[in-house]
Amino acid sequence: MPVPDHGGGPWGSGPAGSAGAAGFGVFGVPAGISPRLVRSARFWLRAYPRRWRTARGEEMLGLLADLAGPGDGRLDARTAVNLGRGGWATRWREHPPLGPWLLYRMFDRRIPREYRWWAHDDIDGFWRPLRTFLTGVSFLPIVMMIPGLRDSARVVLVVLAVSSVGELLFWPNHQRRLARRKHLALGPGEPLVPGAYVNREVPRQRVDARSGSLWTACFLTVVAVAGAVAAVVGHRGFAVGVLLVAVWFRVVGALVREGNLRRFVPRHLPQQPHRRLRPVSRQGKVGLAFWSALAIALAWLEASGRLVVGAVVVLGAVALVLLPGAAMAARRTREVALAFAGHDLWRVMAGGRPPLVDYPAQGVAQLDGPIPLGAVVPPHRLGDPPYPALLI
Amino acid sequence: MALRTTEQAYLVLLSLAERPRHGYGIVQAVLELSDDAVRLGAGTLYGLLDRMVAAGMVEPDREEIVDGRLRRYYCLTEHGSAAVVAETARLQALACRARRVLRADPALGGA
Repeated sequence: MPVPDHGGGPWGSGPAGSAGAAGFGVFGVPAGISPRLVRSARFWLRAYPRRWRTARGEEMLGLLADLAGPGDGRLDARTAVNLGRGGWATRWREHPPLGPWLLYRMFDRRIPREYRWWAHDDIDGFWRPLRTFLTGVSFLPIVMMIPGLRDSARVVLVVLAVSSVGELLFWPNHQRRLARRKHLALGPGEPLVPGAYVNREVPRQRVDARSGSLWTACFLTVVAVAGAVAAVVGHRGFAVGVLLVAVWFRVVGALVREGNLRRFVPRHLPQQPHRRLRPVSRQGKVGLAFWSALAIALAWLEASGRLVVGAVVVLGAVALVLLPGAAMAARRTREVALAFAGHDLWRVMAGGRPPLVDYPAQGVAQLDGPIPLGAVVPPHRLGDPPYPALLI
Repeated sequence: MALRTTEQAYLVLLSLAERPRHGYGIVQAVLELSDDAVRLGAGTLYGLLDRMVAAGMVEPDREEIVDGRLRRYYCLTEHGSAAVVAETARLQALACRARRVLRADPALGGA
């Protein structure tokens, strides 16, 4: 059973996931420990929940280094098995019971407060869409047993797949943001403690221009090449004409965009007090990789004559028009040390409009002290917004 | 949450009864207390510590960084101290009963 601790969870008050993908602290590779041993330890420590690694990872790493013999380059088999077993036992102890877990997974019911930190790991986990999909699929046999719904099983499967893929590829952060607000934030009447999550206004997250333009340029290059190959090998004639027109637009567009970029960046960037920049997320990269693979597959189908829709040619033409802007932005953002968002670049380059000043977003944030003794989350009254900003 | 006091758990509690210790210190103390019979793995130790912290028997004491390695010290709470005293008394009573049984049986070296 986990500890009903709303502040920092059972293992500490550090924000989970704040220390990098592996969930470790800020100490890096401790002195005197072989980097190979550290890599090996971090690999096996992945058996533990992310939040546990954030709270205890560095401490455990120190212990493993102390226990390792001099010159050991990796953990021995006994230690590795011991870590694996300990990690999965920890996951098992922290996992909600079947009932609350099913209600949470299947019907998005609010998780009981003592499992809030488990939900934190679940919501931020990379495989969340897959877990949701598999949970749904596991109920298909029950659906098929109900007379009249047997024929709907395929439809249910498709809906589940589309929603899971959509969550991963189209809105990688939207569903997580909603889930955090629903499952992690303290409810009305709960005591406020440092480290607990509360609904409040948070800085709006934007992808930074450098990372965004680089990944966009890579993606557009793949789509443009795929479109060109499909046009030249598969369709010829009209399709090649479409691409040539796109190239013409590309030249004109590049001149316009370069002028826009020179006019606005970086001299006319407004202050953005309610913004936090981040690089393209792992989910975003997976999404781009997926769409790139889809463009290549379409190009192959069209080049080999199996498909004559011409969709990839159109996509390739669009990519050709946009590519110089993205490449120019990627080059320009490398030269300029200022931090600005990909969203700003798009406004400036595509429309010649100045960047917008972001307003704060509704989200969850961890409380930090000092907090008045006995303070609780205020009750939710009729007419209040669904997630009122907390005032203390 | 009740924690089953296994031999390993008892040895960890006993090692902390003397003074607060960090992970490696606990492993070494347990090795010494058990006369080299119990060598705790890192996963086992932290599993025990997690459950002891959850049961309110042990709590983090302080942290320090030695040679770039984070060391978090743990100490017994009142509940932990009471548990280790109670378990020691139980084992002592058991040992007394065992000695009585052995003394009563001549085949086992008794009178």
